[in-house]
Amino acid sequence: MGTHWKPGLTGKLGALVLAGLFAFSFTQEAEESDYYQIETFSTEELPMEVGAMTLMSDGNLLVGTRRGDVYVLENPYGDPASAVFRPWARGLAQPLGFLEHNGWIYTAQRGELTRIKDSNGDGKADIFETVCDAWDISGNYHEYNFGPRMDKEGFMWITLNKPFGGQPYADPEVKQAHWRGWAVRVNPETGEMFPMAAGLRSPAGVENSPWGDIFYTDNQGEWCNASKLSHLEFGDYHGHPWGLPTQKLAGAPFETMPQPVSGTFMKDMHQQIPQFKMPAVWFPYDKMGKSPSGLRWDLTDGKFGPYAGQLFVADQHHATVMRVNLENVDGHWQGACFPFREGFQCGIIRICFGSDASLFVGMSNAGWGGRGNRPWGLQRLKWTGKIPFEVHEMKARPDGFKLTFTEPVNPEAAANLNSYKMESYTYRLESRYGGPEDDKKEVKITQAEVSKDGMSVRIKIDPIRAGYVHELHMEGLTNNKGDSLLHDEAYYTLVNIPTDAHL
Amino acid sequence: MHFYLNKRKAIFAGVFILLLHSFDEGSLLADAPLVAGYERLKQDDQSTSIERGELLLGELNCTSCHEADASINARVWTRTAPDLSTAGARLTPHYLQSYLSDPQSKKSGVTMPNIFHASEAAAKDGAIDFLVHFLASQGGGLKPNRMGGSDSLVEQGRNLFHEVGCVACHGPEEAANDGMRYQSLDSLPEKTTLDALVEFLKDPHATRPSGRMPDLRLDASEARAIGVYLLRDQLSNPQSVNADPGEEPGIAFEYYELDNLRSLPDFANLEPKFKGELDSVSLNLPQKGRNSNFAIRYFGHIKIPTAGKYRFGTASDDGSAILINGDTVVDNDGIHGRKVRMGEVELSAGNHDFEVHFFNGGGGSELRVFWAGPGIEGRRGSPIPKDALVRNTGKPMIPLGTQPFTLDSQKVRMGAQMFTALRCVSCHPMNDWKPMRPSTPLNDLNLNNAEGCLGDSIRRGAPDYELSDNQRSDIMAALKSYEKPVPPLSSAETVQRTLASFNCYACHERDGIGGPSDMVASKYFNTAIEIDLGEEGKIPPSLNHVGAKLKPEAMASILTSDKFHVRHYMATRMPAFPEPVAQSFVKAVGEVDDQPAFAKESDFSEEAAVIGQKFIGVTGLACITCHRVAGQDSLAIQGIDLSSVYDRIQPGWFKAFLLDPASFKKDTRMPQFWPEGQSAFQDILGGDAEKQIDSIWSYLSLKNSMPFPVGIVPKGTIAMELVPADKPIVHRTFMKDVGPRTVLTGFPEKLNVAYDFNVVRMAKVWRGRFFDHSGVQSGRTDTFLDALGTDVLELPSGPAFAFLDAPQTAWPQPELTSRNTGGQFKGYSLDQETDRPIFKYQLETASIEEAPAPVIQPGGAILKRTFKIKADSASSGLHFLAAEGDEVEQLSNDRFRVGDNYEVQIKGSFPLKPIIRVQGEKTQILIPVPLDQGEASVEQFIEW
Repeated sequence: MGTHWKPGLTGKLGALVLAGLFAFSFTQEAEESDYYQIETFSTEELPMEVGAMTLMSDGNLLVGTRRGDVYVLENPYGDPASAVFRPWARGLAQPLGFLEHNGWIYTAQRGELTRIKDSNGDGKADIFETVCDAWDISGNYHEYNFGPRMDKEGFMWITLNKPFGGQPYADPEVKQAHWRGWAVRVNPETGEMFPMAAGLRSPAGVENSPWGDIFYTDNQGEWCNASKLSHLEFGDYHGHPWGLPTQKLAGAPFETMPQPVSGTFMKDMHQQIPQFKMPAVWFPYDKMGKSPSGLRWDLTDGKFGPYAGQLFVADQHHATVMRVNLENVDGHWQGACFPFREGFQCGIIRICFGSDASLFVGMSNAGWGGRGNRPWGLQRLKWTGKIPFEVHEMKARPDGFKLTFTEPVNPEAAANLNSYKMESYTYRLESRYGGPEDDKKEVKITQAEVSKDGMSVRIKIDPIRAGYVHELHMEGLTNNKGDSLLHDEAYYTLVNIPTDAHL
Repeated sequence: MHFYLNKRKAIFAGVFILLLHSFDEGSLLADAPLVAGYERLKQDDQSTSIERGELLLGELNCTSCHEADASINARVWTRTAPDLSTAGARLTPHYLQSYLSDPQSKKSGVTMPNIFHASEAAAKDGAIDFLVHFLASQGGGLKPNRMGGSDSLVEQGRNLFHEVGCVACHGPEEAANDGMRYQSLDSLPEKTTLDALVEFLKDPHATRPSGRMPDLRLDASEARAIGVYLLRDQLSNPQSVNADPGEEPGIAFEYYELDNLRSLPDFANLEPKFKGELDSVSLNLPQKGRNSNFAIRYFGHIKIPTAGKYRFGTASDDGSAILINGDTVVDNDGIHGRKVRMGEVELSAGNHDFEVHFFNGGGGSELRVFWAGPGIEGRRGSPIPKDALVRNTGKPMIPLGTQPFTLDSQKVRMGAQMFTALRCVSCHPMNDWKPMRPSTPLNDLNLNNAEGCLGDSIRRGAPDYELSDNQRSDIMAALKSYEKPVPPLSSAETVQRTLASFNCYACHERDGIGGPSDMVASKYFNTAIEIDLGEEGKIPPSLNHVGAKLKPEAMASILTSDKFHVRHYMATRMPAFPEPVAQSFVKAVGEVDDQPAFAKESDFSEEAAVIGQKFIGVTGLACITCHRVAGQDSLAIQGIDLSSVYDRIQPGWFKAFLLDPASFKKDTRMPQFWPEGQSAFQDILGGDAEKQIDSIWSYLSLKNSMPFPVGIVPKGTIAMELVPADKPIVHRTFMKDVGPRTVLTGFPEKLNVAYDFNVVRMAKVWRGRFFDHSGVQSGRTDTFLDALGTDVLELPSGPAFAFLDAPQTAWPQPELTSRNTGGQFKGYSLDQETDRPIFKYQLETASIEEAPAPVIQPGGAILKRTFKIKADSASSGLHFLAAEGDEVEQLSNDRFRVGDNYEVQIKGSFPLKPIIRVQGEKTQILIPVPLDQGEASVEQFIEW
């Protein structure tokens, strides 16, 4: 009964050794860098631990570091060597988001939502106004605040991390700090705070969608078996019980939210807690990063490649940017995530589109080890103009999925059921730290119907299970030149199965 | 062997015959014997019925009676039953009596068979009575319990029990409802005494040499706490209530730390920093305190041998005192070098309350205590001997159901014969005795015997293990397999047998078998420190590939000692197992687990080690984010120290693990630094992943000689000093004694101020160096650092302004977590010219601006605070707290001195009418601020 090297491992290691020996010299495979190139700003001199980033109305980029320094990146679009980091402000406490609004820069610092301005135009900020500080900080390192991002009603959303460990300044009655683990929104003029949703854990990215809704990313841990992207709405509960004692305070959207029962499948949680919100997208651990952070929608109208309107999500552990397409099925936002680009120099905290439709990527590994070869950095991802052969979108259908592609697929390969492999699994809500892919089943592809133009394939599957990630591999799929997909995997979080028979 | 024949031989023989003669039958399965490893294997199809049966043959001691040939003996690992040569010193006779009459119902799941299951009541009772007397005589009998317990020890023990790993085999106190069977401890309070249990817990292998109860290496106080917890029912035993409290030689102490100690403190209102017990009054505490500004209180009783006049004395540096029955007998208080003081007291024979107090302000410290009196040698007194000091040990604990018991030597002798006649001695070795009649050898057993141990109606005299049907059929399968010659255990079988016999499965998973249940894992497997390591930090590691992972010598050390137990953050402990078990397991698992392809260790080179050092630091993979290095803290998560890797880990496994950590540990935090074998460092060693890992190995091979990689910050280093060179620096941070919403300003004039904007107040002013902001900068530290400079002045804990309803209204006193006592913070702006900050806050109707600034002058800058207040002109009752202190002296209408600390001068845009008032222990100077103009301004100069 010995443990032997599992075939998968041996295979992988073998491949590694081979790869090492031959250095890919005999392959012609497409690489991510053929389509998206990484350019690097020199940050050797400055501790550019990027935590906040925004494109300003003058086209420059405002970059904030976790040490509290803020720089204007002037001339951000040319040769990175010619860009200049000009100091603009200092002394902030872990600013983790910027938003320009009415001539002010709003930022969520550790202690407050602040707005900052250079009132005399000398190139340095001189007014730091406290807009709202109505939440507690207990003195724990993990009490990061993220945001703000503005919703369609003009309120600014902030997500508040829960502490991890000692809390010297906690409310002695409940022995914890209030409003941590919550999402709140703030009137940017009056500073009034409105608690919106509870149950957040480590909500490292918050973003407004093009249609004005707010989404956030949360990190795997206790009561969060897998990292996720979720839609944030008033009155939601996202599963982490830590912040529940705060619901007794005035202004909370609910008062009697019960403690969840550990071990319940998340898909069944609404039976215990009707306000429980299922994620929009699960990021299966290690397959799709380990620590999702900043996120941005592609509003470049095609200038960043074929993904206009889709969402990009960064990962602080894998130093990757992932891609997500969302759709609304029966009132729930859900969709698929795909690998997009890896190989950044450090774990990514923030991403931000520049006015030239390149994606700025800000990084820091302070306190959270990850891939890469630098402790911080700012890089820029540029589309080369070539279109990769990729799944463009994966959308749910009553009996399976519809896959669209960035170029026509080879009809034979695409109609061959053996070109696909699928399994589905789900997650529980548990007190443990991260949890396994649960109730896993192999999914049969029963039919693959290729559209006439070859741009899409309808796959029918058995079983189709609501509340499960459907993990799809498409190793056999090729285009008409015989090339494989640049990324042949997709992870669709099927919360609702569409019922419309016309689909 | 000699049989002791005497006149009671006839009685003995009669009982014996009755015992062995079979009447009717009916082996009822109450609770089958619990062999935890068997339960684990049964849940899985990876083991065969033969393997499981063979496990049971060993765990149930079958071959102790049924002699087997050498080839079978090599396969069946007999679990030696507990050593009963000290049974009498450990076990209560009444427990033995009821246990022997039905082991399974007394202790559910026990592997001790019922030998009297079919005996006639009279015969059985007689035999048991003999055995009880015999066993009770072993080891000198049960000694009166010395130690006692307390509710706090129960609580300590409960925590330890549920934390260090006991629950893995014994289950938690609450019902687990997880489908697992746990070894019951329910009968302990009846079974044994606290003294005996503590001895057992400290060294379980002494009485249970089989090693099935592993040694958790509990220290004396841990063993005591767990013992008190397990025997907690004895505390409420009515028999305990009237018993004398237990006592032990020695004295208890409490250690305190206080500032500015000039004399002995009043201990009554102080919280000790730590406490414990000592053999005698001494400064050699088991835990290290500091060298100055500490105090110790020793307390207990002194045993006075004969009534008479006694002299006590201390020699101490600094002060000390001796109190007897609450009265000060020796007064040696005050700051001084070594000084001797004596005192006299008349004492009756017996115990008297005895306390020694001591403190040291600064400099050297010394304490000696001595006595003189009737029969005590030495004119100048002698040290108080250990046995003259006694301390209470808590509430008495008497085993439940204790009855008077007198050893009957006749019965002892009869019992000794029973012990061999009933074959007890086959399993429980005693002297060199042999069973009176040998059992049928294993190979000659008739497996179809319906009246045998495995039969449906076990005959009188044969042991009834109360086996389950599965257990019987598995044992049968093993026995049948012996009809053919059997090979020795293979390495794979040895591995599985070890994990099952020693219940390694309770904590560890291998090949999908084992590990704590979800319920137990989630509630009782925790981290010992706050550490964000997820399940990896809580659950003992999987044993998959362990033979390829650990170096054999390291694995043996891990199994038998506390060496290489590197997961300091894990609350559950790895216990120690007997040496031979460890050796056979290490050999077998090394043979079973294949080495990965690259087993060859790379050659060491100095250049490679230098490159490896770069990879470990923040210049490379930043391993030091999560791994300690040669005893130095890592930057964030305090994970396994890298200096232990070389001794523990096999180089081939190391390489395979680094290339793909998640394939070994699915949930690991360890990043895959070479995804698909690709390095993020193409310019180092040609980007070759293997060579890069080899370089790290070269560095790790340096062990404790590792030079620190870039990024390690030894404790106490000023890592990120802020220096206001030409402009002020305004900086938000955490600061010691200020809070988590601190805003600092450092001026180039070397004057610095700290505001607490939780409360909204100025908290500190100091001169010189400004601040080290590394306390909150690594991303995972929340260290509240203090000012770097000198001349630190603490300002009043309340806010600068308050609206008072009446002149006597108390000034607001913020608590630790108070918010906005001094108003709502509104931020700050920087002066256009000087970059000096102007802080803003709103207090009810008043908008207040506060501008701190240095005023340079000979002797160092002083602080000027300029306040501008705007308010509704109808507002009234605003006051400014100009000064507060234990003593405040008015020097002139606008100038005040606060103790010896500082002077304050006030200027106002209005005539000053200072109010001097006393609030509790503080004197306050309040300046009423008239707001009828809608605005006002105040300047405050603080000079210190």
